Amino acid sequence: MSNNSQFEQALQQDLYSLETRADAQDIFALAQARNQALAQSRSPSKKLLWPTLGASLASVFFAVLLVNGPSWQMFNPTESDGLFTDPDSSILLSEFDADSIELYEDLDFYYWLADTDVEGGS
Amino acid sequence: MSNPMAVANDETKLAYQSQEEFLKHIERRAFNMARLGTSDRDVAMDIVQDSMYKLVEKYSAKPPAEWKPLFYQILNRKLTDYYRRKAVRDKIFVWTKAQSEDEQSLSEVADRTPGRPSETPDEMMMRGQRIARLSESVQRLPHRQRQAFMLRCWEGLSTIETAHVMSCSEGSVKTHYSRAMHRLRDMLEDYRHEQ
Repeated sequence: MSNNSQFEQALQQDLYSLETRADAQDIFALAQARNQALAQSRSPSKKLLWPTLGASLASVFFAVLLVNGPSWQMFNPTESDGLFTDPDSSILLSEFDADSIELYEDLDFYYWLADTDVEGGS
Repeated sequence: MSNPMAVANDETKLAYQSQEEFLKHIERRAFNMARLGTSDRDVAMDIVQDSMYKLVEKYSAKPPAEWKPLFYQILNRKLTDYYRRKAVRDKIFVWTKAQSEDEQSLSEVADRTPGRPSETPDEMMMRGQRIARLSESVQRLPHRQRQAFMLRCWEGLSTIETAHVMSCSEGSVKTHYSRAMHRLRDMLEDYRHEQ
């Protein structure tokens, strides 16, 4: 057997014997730790805790939403909101808008017309 | 790197019928390893307890052959976390870097040896002294070398299993282990003559 493995074996033996030197206090603490660790596997699983909690909170949220009802005004604007307009008036508005656009587009022409009128008049 | 779980020996498969049996078998060694690594009894106990918790919580469903590498993997991660926290703490509180009480008590642990029934009082005393020296020498090893030494020499894990536990290559394990043995041989020069 090589010196290396002899040395290794000697270390191994001493390390094993170190294990037998544990205090009664340490042995008790280790046994307690082991039992506590094993007890958690016997208790109901904590894995389902968060999904269950999340689902419960979500259902409570939707229940509150249904009971109070959403603000339907958001979807049905009224006159008081200033968003609702009469269909006829909206047509008028759109016509007015179309005229205004034409006016702006031909603004140069009207300026020229005004200038020629002034020159013709003078 | 091949999967160490696949090469876990049959002895392990047969040895542990339950996690309780496995933990009972491994707890003292794990505690001593953690104690050598941390030089603090209470911290070592906490680390072993946390490792047991995690093994039971996360890996109960795994086959018994995988428990040992998994347990040591958890233990080593916890030890590494402890070293990192300690390094930060030591940087912040430089003035509290005094030697811990437990560091001194390691040699006291060695003194409380029951020894082997066949050993004479002189032999028991010699062994106690050797173990105290060995403990101090192991504590002086760098972290990765100590890990490799404890897993290979003490726990008897294969190179593949140790590599898996240490999350490194087999080559690194061999290097760490070889360096650890060289350093220990240097530190324990007269160790062999006392056998």
